[in-house]
Amino acid sequence: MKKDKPDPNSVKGISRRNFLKGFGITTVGAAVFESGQATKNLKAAGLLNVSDSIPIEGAKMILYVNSKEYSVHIKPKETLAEVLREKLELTGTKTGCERGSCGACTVLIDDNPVNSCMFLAVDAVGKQITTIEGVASDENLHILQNEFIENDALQCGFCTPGMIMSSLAIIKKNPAPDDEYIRKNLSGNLCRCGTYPKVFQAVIKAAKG
Amino acid sequence: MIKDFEYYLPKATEQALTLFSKNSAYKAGGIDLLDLLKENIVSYDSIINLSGIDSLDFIDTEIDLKIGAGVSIQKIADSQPIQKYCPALSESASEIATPHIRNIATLGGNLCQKPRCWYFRSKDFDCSRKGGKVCFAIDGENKYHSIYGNQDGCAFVNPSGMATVLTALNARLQILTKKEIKTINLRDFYYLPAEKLTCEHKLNDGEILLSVTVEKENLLRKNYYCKIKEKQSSDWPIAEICIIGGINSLGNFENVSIVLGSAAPIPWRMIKEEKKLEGLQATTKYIGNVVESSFSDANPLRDNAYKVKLFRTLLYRGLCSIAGLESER
Amino acid sequence: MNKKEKVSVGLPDNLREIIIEIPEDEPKPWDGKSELNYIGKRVKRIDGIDKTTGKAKYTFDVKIPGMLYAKFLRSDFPAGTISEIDLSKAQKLKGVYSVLPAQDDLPLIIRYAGQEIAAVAAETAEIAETALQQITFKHTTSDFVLSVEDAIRENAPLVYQTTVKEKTTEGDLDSSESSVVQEGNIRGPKIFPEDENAEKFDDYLRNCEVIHTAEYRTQVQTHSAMETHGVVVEWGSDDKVKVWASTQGTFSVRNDIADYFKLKYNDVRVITEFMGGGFGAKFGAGLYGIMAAKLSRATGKPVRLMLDRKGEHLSVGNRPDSLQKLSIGTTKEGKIKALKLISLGTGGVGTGAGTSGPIKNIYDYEKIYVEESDVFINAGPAAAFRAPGHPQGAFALEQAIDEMAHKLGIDPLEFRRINTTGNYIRQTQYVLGAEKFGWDKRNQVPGSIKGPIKRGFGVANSVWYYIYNKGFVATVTINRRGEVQVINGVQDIGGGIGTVLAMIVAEELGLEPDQITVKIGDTDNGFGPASGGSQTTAGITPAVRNAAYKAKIRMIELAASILGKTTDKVTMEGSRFSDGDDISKSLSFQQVAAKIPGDEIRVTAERRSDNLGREEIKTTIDGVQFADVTVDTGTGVVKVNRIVAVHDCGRPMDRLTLESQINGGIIQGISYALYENRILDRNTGIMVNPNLEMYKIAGARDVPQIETIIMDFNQAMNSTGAMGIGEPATIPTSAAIANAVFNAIGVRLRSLPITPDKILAALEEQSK
Repeated sequence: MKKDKPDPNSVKGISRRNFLKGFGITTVGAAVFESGQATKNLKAAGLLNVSDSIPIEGAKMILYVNSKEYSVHIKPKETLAEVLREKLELTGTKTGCERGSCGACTVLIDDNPVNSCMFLAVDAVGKQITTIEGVASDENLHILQNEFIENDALQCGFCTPGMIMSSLAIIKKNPAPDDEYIRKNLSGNLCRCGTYPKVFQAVIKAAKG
Repeated sequence: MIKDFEYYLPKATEQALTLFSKNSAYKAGGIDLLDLLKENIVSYDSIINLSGIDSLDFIDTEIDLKIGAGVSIQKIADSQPIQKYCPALSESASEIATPHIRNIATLGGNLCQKPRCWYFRSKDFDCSRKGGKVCFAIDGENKYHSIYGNQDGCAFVNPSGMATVLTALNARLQILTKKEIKTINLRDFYYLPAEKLTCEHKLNDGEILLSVTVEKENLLRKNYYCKIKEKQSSDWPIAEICIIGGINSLGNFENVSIVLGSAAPIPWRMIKEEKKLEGLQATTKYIGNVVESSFSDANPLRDNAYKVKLFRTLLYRGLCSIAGLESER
Repeated sequence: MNKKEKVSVGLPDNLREIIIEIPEDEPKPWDGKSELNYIGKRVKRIDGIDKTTGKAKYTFDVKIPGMLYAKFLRSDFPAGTISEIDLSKAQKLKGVYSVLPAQDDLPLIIRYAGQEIAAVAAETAEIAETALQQITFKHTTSDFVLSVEDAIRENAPLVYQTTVKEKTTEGDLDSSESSVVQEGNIRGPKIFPEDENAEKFDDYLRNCEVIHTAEYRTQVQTHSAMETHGVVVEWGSDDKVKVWASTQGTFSVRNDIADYFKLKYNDVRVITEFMGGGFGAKFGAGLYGIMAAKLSRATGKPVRLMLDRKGEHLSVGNRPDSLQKLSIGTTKEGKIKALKLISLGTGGVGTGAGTSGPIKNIYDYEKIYVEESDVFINAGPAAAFRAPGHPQGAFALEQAIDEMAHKLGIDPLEFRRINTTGNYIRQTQYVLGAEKFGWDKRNQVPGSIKGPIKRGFGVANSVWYYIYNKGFVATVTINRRGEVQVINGVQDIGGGIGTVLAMIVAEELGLEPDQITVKIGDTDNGFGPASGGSQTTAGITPAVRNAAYKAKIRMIELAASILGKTTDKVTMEGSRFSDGDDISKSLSFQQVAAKIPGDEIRVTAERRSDNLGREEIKTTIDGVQFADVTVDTGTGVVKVNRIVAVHDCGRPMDRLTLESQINGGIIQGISYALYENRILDRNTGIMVNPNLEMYKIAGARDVPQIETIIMDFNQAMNSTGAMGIGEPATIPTSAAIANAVFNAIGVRLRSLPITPDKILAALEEQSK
């Protein structure tokens, strides 16, 4: 038996730690809390770098969204959904329940679908975030988007961005997903219009290419 | 609305330990924590993020099965050694919540999450577990509540799918305190309401759950796991069972451990039944006898008596499965 | 001036010709013999790209400079009186612009937990929420009732001290009822037929050869649209009001706001570019719309008021529950003689709990007697919900029909057949559905399958109605570059009406749908239908086609003048105009358009009455669904394996989006049958599951294989012949599932939702 210990924090070869230092939390906020409790705690913890904490009022950080860098001020308590929608104006990501139950806010973080409403934006620093706005390349729709349209895998469309993000994760992980795999991996996305059967069709067709 | 907090990103558990101060909380995946913060059930001055600590994120199968507390539920579900040596654990992991949550939620978070009782989770109810005077569930809407351990002022069910299986596997927890790394048996980890009403487990404030170990001899035994949900897409179980055990060369049950989930405030061991089964011939008739006599000590509430019937089915099916028999129920 | 046209009507394999009379300026209706390029085909949505790329802007996404965020303070007790409210502390908070009470004058009577008390508008949502916590009030609490049974008891606490007038919305069926009385918490009964004598009817029923009587219960279901209710209101300094609303009735929002604030209709503009689902709950401005407008007026800034998920569950609508006692009397041979329904239901503090649609409108009978009442309880108000009253009514009726068939020893489908002989659409539907489903393979003796896992088949009928309103105005324009647009105020709630409008114009002008620009979702675009009663398509499409036809006539006239011919000599092939005498001389659409005098052709047409002076038009929309389920008798878990649905809806427009609507109706029906339930804590009256975690909605793994048969049924009653499908498809699903469960386990589940605890209890009861 052997150790199964991949590096979950690597972002295309850059370890998250370096990435964080290099591009992530800048020292803009440093002056603000240099003398504060945060720093005392950090020093006590043997951490020298202020980039290892974020004060209540937040700090400027780099988010890497849809292959673009965004410099944005983030408070620790802000969720990724909030920051995407309110600060980056990426309103394609919806929130339907604010509790990770409906999946409307699904984005990919390093290719894994997550509920951006239940994910702190600061935790996304240094990671690759893909939102619905980043699925098509230039003017070309992704095959999944095409299949969603061709198969009418949408009605009111409010759940659609989340549904597509989960579907994208499916076809990235599994080139030939079967019905059961698709259903299981879409089980975090609610569609009140009841469009699921056509979503399944669209995913199967998109996976086939 | 979440109250503002400071955020720390330690790289090592020792740093995290030091960073913990009076009104701090650790966060791993943060699913449970964010839920509580958003509902204003809790608020903290500082939150210490453990998810950047690499040493919490490992699955080690060298001698025993050792899983870091920071391993995501999805990683447990996908781990091939776990699928091979401990199918109940991967099955349970793969059925927790949604794929989205499994990607983020961790083993430690799953084991230590607060109750999912709807009274506890709502700011509108000042319930006993939140320090209030009454348990609203006992005389209220208790369809999803406990049938055991519910007579001491709180009727929630332990929500951890991982705990059900790991309790059956007699797992041990390694916990980092300021003084040492201590080991607690998972079977001793959780408090019944009679022991403590506002605290669910023995992980004290500021301590860090490092890992969970299942000893080698508890792997490679027969596994049965079943989770019943009302709705198949993302739902909390209404009943859950894990049976780990064996059949000896004489065809008798040997070393069986049975744990129920969604039955009590703690993973509920069926110790009496385990004893009855020891050395018992594994036939449907004997299994039936054990099942018939079980659950007489349950204390169903007004709306959850159905759980007894449900658990009987699961117990019967599980024991048949361990014995390699076809279930007639 | 009218003209006469010969049209083919009926089902495709059984067409007959009739002569109809239609207005001069309308085209000959599409009929059973029309060969069309797009209508009736599978055409993809025109807004698919916007919706799949995240570009689509919903009200939820609207953000305008200076916009404030508003939130409601809600009561956390179900009954009482607020005598004083102190808003001053909240008002003083930095970033707070306005705090207003939900009701101008006190006392404010609280009738349910979740009722609005006050609203705050602030710079950020966070400040608004902080401000809410600063609002204090003095109140007393009083006794409350949470169920129909408790509310009808003698001396039950009264929800209302005064008589309640029924609030009607577009989604409701006719509710003009002057004679309804209110006593205690009961509003009703409404009796049908009005002159029927209950005792005489009971005598008649008693004398029937076979009688079945049973009680059926359904639960409260909340709409739970993915986009919550909400608006952004911009009250201009000139007192012109612009509203972005997540609504299924742009004009009803406009009217509500204009009426409330005594503004001109012309000064209120409502925009609904995209909206995330309504299902009947999103007509009118709602209190949230009125409050947002007040806050915007008070602050001079745009105000966004979107409800959160909890507010959505609590305060803006639900499907009432029901307690229905239903009796059927038949002859020994199985002919229905008498039907009786005593129905109680609660829409909380609202009305609309009637369930009698199905019992009145599906089967042949000699005599019927219906008493139905609304019962008030201390819970959030009901709203129209996809086929109001009908899923409840069908759940009771269609199970009772099944039970009667079982009692008589007649196949349930055959029993339905012999009692709907006058309806040839239904007769056809039974045959088509049974064959596709494999009805003959069903388990003949309910509950007889060996082993713990049992499979069963069930069937149930639905009924809905052909509803349309008149006066909708569609505009079609063609400019000198040959660009075509169709304009109307109607909103697309997900059914795809915009696509259908493009298809119709394209069909009429020989163009392709994606060549047509569709402008909808704006009250400045001309009166359009609210999406309720499944009337959107039936309401607006004839006007659109008629407008396109008028534009075409203008183009033909123009082509004729270019070709130097009279119009009757110009033929149109696709979008080309040819000289009938010499077809080598032809003009493209663009060539003709280039000669448009001025800038554009702009024509409008109105939705008129269907053509008159002809035999009766069939006004029911019929349907039948078959369900295949598996029940695990050890755990009580029900799995729906397959649904076959047969529905007619007049002439289908876009078969692709139509199928989606049917799928959606069925899936909502499954969700209603097995999972959904608004649960109020019996001791406090507070909803314990106001989220999407414990309010359980069917997800990807709960969806069966669904097969739909859409019957083309041409009546040529207007230029398009469209009817609606949004509602019919959700009506029979829960009943078909319940009947299949009976077929599987041999025990009746007369209460929704059919959850494992109920199955296990029913099986235990049976084994006693």
